[in-house]
Amino acid sequence: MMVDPLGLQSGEPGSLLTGGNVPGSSGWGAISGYYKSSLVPQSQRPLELQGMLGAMAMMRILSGDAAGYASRTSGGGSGMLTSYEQLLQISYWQKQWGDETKRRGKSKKEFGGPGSLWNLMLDGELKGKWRIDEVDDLENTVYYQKSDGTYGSASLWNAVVELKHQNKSDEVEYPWVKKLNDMYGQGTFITASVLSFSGTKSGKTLSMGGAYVWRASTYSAQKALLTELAYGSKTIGKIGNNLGYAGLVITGVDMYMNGINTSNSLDAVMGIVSFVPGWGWIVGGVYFIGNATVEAATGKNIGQHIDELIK
Amino acid sequence: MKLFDYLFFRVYSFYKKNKDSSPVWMGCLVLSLCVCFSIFSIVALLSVVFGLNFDNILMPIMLVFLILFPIIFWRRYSKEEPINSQLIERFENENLKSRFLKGFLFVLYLILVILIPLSVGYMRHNLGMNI
Repeated sequence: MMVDPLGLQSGEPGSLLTGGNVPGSSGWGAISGYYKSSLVPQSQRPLELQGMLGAMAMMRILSGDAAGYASRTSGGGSGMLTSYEQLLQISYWQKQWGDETKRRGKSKKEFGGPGSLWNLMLDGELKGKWRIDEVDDLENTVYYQKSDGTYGSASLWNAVVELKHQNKSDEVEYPWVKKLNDMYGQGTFITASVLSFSGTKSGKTLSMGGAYVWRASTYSAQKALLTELAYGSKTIGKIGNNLGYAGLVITGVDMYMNGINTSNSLDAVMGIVSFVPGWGWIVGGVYFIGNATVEAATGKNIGQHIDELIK
Repeated sequence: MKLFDYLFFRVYSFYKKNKDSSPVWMGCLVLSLCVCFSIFSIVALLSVVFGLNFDNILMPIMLVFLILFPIIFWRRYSKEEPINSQLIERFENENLKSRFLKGFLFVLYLILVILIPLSVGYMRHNLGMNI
């Protein structure tokens, strides 16, 4: 004989079981559907019925949500979704519709219409590392010659994707100018250190090894250190400013010959900012130190990371 | 030279007022920057208007200039110390309106000569314009 653990089968008029708050479904239908699931073997029962009935399950039953739950788990019940579940379903459909619209739009941009990647490739405006020899529309194949003189073929799709990838790469017209600018950028680490530490009293103290060293020194040692450092920082500071000025000119030439990208724009702006006395040194210093550190750690500078994020 | 003297004096005064450790040197650097970018702008405009291509020799030339100009200015304004006092005597009594206007024009000019080559580079390489 089945044991009614909660005594829900009584179904007396006026009890909780006579009416649920789900439109179109009776409380009894919901509960009975839920309850029927306890007739199946224990391993197939809802988790709540395998052990103690949890507080959440009880709330679901009382709110009428058990109808949908029971229909999914036991095959009984009305199978109607609650309002909340309907909203969830609509939201999911809307998201799917949005994704599909985006996908179709993107596809159209790449493969159809004026200015699409596909048409740009046919017009020869989309340049890559390899030159297109022939496009076979019937076989959907592109025949091309690589930069080393060898020939190859690819499907239209792969050709467009490859060209798109190649055109997104960091190739520039004058790589040696870019290389020089990058090398210079790495060299600005020294400049940045100098700009950060020369000129301010706290910077001088820090550059000597921190406040600990300063406090631990005698008065005469402090005086000697300050004198020495003031002389040193003055000399090195001049070198630092000179490097900053040269960096600005080199970055300018790089921008003129290879175009503007995030990396050299940041270098130029920070180069100009470094000419502002006081806070400009600090801002420029923090940027150049950060840039050199990021480049050493990840192999790419801050500008290149920003470019990747935008892509 | 009067123009250079005046610009140097303004930059020198600015950095001296802000307690820079070497205002003379900063004056030389900013002046050199201005001259370098002026030449750079002329090169960019020549390439646009007459189609002259200096791309292969531009970087070496600029490297020479950016070393040469600070040395020239440094020799003029640093080694002959009296020249600074002469400059101060000559320009310190300038009225505030003229001072503001000339300073504004100098900053504007500096921005312009920096923007010209950058704009040409942007139009050529980023926008793909054939100029």
